[in-house]
Amino acid sequence: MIEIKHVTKIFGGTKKAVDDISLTINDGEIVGFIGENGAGKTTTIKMITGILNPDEGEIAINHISIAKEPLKAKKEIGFVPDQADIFLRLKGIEYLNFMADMYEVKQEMRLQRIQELAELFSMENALNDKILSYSHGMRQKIVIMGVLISDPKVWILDEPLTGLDPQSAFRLKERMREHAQRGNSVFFSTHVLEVAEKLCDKVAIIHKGSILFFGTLEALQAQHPSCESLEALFLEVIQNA
Amino acid sequence: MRKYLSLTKTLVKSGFSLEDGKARKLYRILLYVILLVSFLPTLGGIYFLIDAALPLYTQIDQTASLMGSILFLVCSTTFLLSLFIIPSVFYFSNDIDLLLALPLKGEHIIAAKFTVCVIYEYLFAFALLIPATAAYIHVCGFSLSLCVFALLTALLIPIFPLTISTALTIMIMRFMPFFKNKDHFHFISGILLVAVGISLSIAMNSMQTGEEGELLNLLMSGNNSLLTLFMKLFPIIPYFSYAIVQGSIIDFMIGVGICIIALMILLSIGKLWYFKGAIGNSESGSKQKKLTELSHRNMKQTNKVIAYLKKEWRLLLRTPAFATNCIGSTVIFPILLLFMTMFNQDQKVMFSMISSIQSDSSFVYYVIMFGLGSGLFIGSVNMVSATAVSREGSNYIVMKYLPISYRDQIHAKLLLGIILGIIGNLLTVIALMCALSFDWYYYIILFLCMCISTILSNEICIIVDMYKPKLVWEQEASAVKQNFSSFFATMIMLGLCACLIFIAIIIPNEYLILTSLCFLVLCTIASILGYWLSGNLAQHAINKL
Repeated sequence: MIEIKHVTKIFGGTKKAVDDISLTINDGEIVGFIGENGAGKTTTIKMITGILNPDEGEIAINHISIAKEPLKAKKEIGFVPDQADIFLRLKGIEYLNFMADMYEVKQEMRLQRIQELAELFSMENALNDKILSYSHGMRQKIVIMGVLISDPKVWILDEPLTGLDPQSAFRLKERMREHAQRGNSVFFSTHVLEVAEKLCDKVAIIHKGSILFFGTLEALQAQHPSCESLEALFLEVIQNA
Repeated sequence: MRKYLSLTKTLVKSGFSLEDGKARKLYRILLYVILLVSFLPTLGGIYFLIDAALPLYTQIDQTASLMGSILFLVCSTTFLLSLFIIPSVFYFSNDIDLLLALPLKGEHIIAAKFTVCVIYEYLFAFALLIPATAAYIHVCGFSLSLCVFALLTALLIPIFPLTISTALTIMIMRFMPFFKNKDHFHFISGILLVAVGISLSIAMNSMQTGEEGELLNLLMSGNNSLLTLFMKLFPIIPYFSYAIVQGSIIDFMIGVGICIIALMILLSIGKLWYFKGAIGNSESGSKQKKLTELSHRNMKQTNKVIAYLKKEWRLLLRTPAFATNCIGSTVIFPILLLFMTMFNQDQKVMFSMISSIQSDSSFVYYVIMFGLGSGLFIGSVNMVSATAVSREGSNYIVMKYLPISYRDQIHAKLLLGIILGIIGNLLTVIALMCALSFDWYYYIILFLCMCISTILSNEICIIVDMYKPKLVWEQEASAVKQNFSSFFATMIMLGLCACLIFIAIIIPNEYLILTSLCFLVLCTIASILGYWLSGNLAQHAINKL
C-alpha cells in the first residue's frame, strides 16, 4: 500500500513540480500514472522511493513513513528507474547478486529466482557479460530482474516497458497482474495509454504537478461519456484542465 | 562553412559551460578564480626564470632560442597530452553517435572538434607565453610587434602539434581495430603514459656528460643555433620565434603557411578515413556464455557493506579512467621511488646519507613526522575517497533508493580508499627498504604512522566529496580529472603534508619529541573522529544531493 498525503515539491524556491497531491494505492491494485512530459510523474515517483524529499506532506509505504523510517520503507519497495544505465561495468550476474545482498535475499532463494527470471526475460546467455555490452532493452530487463529478485511488496516502476521486446513486455505485464493478485501494490508511470487501459485497476492523471483525476477507468468514462478510449479521455481531461 | 561554425559553437558551449548541474554559476566562477590565483606563483616563477636567463642568452646570441625553448615546451606538451585527448574527443565522446547520424561531412566534424581541442590547449599556451612575453618586454624593451606576434603565436602554436596527433589518431583508429575499444585504448594509453614518464626520468638521469657537452657547444656557437634542434621536431618553432623576437613578418607568414598546409593535409586524411574509423565505436561485444554452476558458487549472501565495497572495487578496477587515476597513482609513486634509487646516482648518494643518520637519538621522531606527512600525501593522491561520490555520476540516485544506510555506503567507499591507501603505503615502505638501510623497526613505525594519516586523509577527502561532488559528467575521466572539489581536498592534504615535513625540519631537537608525539596522538584521535563524522554527515550530505 502506498499513501501519499498532500505532497508538494518545489524546485528552485518557486517552481512547484508537484502541488499538493494525494493518492492511495491499495493492496491488490495496479495503478497507472499518466501525464505529459514534465507533468511531475518522475518527481512524484522519486519522492515515493526516497530519492527526493517532499517539501510538504507525507508518504508511507505499507504504513511505514519514508521520511521517518527510510530503510524499512525502502525494503518494501522495488523500484525501476526511468534510465536503465546502472553500474554498466558490472556483469549482469554481479548486479543481481549485489541487489540480492542489498535486499538480504537468502542464497538458495536468489539462485532459484535468478534462474527463473533469466528464463522469463530470456537473459540466460547474457548474465555473464558486462551490462555495458547490453542493448537498451537488455539493460531495462536486468534492472527489472534486480527488483524482482527480492520480491518486494510494492513495485514502483518508471516507464518499465520502454525498450522491452514484445515477449518480455508481455511477461512483465503478466507478472504485474500476478503480483497485484497476491495482494501487493503496483504503481507505474507510462506514456503508452493502451497498456494503462488494459492493465490498470485505477489511473492517476497528473498535469502541471496537480492530480486531475484518480480513480477507475469506469469512473473516468462516466465523467466523459463521449470518449471511448483512455487516449481520448486523457486528452479531454488535459484540455479541460 | 555554416555547418562548421554552428557545430563548433555548440561543441564549445557544451564543453566550456560554467553550469555544472546543481552547482551555481557564481560558485563555478569563484572556483575558476581561485584556480587562477593558485597558478599565479607558477606564472611568476616562469617570468622570473626567463627574466633571469634572457640576458645570458642575449650575450651568446641565443635570444630567439629561449623563445624557441618555450614554444618547444608548448608544442611538445600539447602533442603528448593531445595523444590522449584527441581519441576521447574525436572517437569516444558521447556525442559521436549523434554527429555521425547528422548530414555532416567528415571534414565538418573534424574541423569543429579540432577547433575545440585548439581552444582547450590555449590555456597552456597562454600560461607560458604571457610571462615569457612580459620577461622579454622587461629585458629587451617594449615593442608592439613583440606583443602582437606573441599573441598571434599563442593563438596559432597549438595547431601544428595537434594536427600531427589528430592525423596519427585517425590513422591508428582506421587501421588498428584493437584501439577502437574505448577500454582497451584508455588502459593501454594509461600504461604508456606511466612508461613514458619513467623512461624520460631514467633517460634524463642517465644522460652522459658527453651529450651534455654537445648541447653546450651548440648553445655557445651563437646565431640562435639551438633553434635547429627544435626545427627537426616542430618546423614552425624557428619561424614563430623569429617573428616574436625580431618582429619578422616573413617568418610569421611562413609559420602560418606551415600550419595551413598541415591543416589541409589533416582535413584530407579525415575525409578519407575518419568515418571509417569512427563508425562502430559505440559497439561492444559480449561473450553470450551461459551461466554455469561455477558462477553460482560466488553467489553467497554477503554483508551489505562488504557487498557494496565489492561493487565499488569492481567499478573502480573495470573503469579505465578510474583505474589509471585512482589505482594507478597508488602504484606509480612507489615505482618512481624505486627507479629513482636504481638509476639516479645523485639520489643514491642522498639515500646513503639519510641511512647514516639513523644513529641520531631523535631519528625515530623524524620517522614519525615523515610517516604522518607521506601518509597524508599517499591517502590523497590516489583520489579514491576524494571522488567516491563523484564517480557515481547520474547513478547517484541508486545510492538514495537502495535499502542500505547512507552511513554504510559512505563507510564502504571510505574503506576502499583506506585499503588502497594502505597498499600504497606498503609499496612505498618496500621501495624505501630497497633504497635505505635502516633497522627493521623503523619501517614498521613508518608504516603505522603512514596508515594513521592515510585514514585521516581519506576521511577528509570523502567528506569534501560528499558535500560537493561532481555528478554531471560526459566522460568518466571528468569525474576524476576535472573535479574541483577533489582537487581542493587533495590540495588541503598536500598542504598539511608540507606543513608536517616543514615543522619536522625547522623544529629544534628538544621539541621534536613532544611535537611528533602530539601530531601522532592528534592524527589518531582525528582519524577516529573522522570515521564517526563521515558516517554521521553522510545522512545530511547525501540527502541534499
